[in-house]
Amino acid sequence: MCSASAGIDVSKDSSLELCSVSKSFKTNSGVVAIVENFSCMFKKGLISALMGPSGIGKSTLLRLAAGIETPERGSVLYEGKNVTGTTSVQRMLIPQELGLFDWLTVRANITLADHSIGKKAVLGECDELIEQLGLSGVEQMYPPQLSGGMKQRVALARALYVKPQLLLMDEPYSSVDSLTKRKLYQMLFELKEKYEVTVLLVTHDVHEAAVLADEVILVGDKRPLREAERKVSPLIGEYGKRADFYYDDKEGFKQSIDVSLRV
Amino acid sequence: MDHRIFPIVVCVLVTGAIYWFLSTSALVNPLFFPEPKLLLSSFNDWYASGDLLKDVLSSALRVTVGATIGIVAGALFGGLGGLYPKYYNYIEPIVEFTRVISPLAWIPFAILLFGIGDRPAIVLVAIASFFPTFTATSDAFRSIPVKYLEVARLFQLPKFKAVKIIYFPYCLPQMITGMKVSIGIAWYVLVAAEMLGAQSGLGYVIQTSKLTLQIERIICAILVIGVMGICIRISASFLERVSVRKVQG
Repeated sequence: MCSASAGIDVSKDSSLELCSVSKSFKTNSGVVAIVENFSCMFKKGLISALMGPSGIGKSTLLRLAAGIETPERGSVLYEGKNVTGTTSVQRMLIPQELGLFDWLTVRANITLADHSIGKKAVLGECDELIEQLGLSGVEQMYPPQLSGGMKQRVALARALYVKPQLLLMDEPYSSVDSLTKRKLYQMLFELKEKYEVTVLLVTHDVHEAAVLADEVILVGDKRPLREAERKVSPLIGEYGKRADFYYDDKEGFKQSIDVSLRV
Repeated sequence: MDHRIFPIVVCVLVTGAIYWFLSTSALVNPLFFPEPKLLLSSFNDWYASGDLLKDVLSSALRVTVGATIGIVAGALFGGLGGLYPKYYNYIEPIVEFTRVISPLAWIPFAILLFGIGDRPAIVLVAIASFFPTFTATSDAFRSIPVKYLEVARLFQLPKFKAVKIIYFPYCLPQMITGMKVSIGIAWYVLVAAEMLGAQSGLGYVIQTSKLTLQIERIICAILVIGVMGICIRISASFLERVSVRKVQG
């Protein structure tokens, strides 16, 4: 078991753990260390928000968790098992770019997992997902014909179709207008209950983190990322309450918001 | 009349009129620019003897078989090269070396290996039409956006499914562009190959007419080659539209 989750009570309700992971990328100007000796644990059954400034490496953490990237050092544990650098439909990532196939219909995009190896995952009901996510009537259309919010929902349906236990979402609502965002937030709460899925999402939007997440994991604003600070959201997932949420990092990234949402 | 057909008709008529005027005037040597009526009678002889049909069909058959072999092989190996770039790097020097050699340089080899007839022409056409399709396909396969490959990994698609669902539809437009170039080159090379290693076909007609100084017959053959080339281009564009619509919806 990973002991590097310093200060955090590692218990059996952990879903995913990053254990002392390090990752760097080669660029034209040399090697850039994104994450160094970084540890973090995400609890089962919660919506956790990984928060920090844009471009700092949050996506890399999520991609390490999904197994799309392999760390140079350290390991990724999922329910206690080492899953470093391997993908699984149990841990399903929705990339920021979504990666919908423009030449497949919405329905064919959602049921992509029908072609997966062995189809060992329990597949959901496509019609039910289309209904639930408000995609009725567009299932025979192609992604370029859809709005940003619709595409986001198609990607969500495609991920939920494989019945993942952990849903990793990379800035899922960054290209969606604020009204649609509220609908999608509500939808995420409902889907999370219905499909009993643990959610880990990346955002640079304080407001979004406060509204959506049960707990917020703050990463710093200096590269490489070394540690995270864990905060319980004052909203604790109860949508619609008034709350003040402060992001006060010693590096100086300060923001305070006043959440006042009526559903 | 259709606004697209009209300029074409005008162009053909005006060009024909200019040729007719020049060939009947004393401005050019009538040996190289025979009068239209001589062209017509030569064409008529060609047709009446049954050789026209035979020549056209044998050229069409060779180009079809040769280009099909070249294009299918180009798409297949281009796809493999694009899917496995690490292995492809080891054979890339051979491919690049072979590519810069004019297919016509293989004519002596082709005749020695396959004799005179259909086969050397087919082989040369296949070699010539291989490269454009090969390059277009391997480039397309290598340029596939990483985001699609990541989705394939996330959903654990087997490689052949990924080829069918992701690579092929994504790469098809670029592949078809390469195939169109292949078909064009196939037609060029066929005529040259027939001039040296065949006993029928449009290139063969040009070669034998040269020996007997039948300029009219040469011009007729050139016109037939041009008309058939245009027909090939039109049908290639038609196939392009149909197949892209079928795969990309």
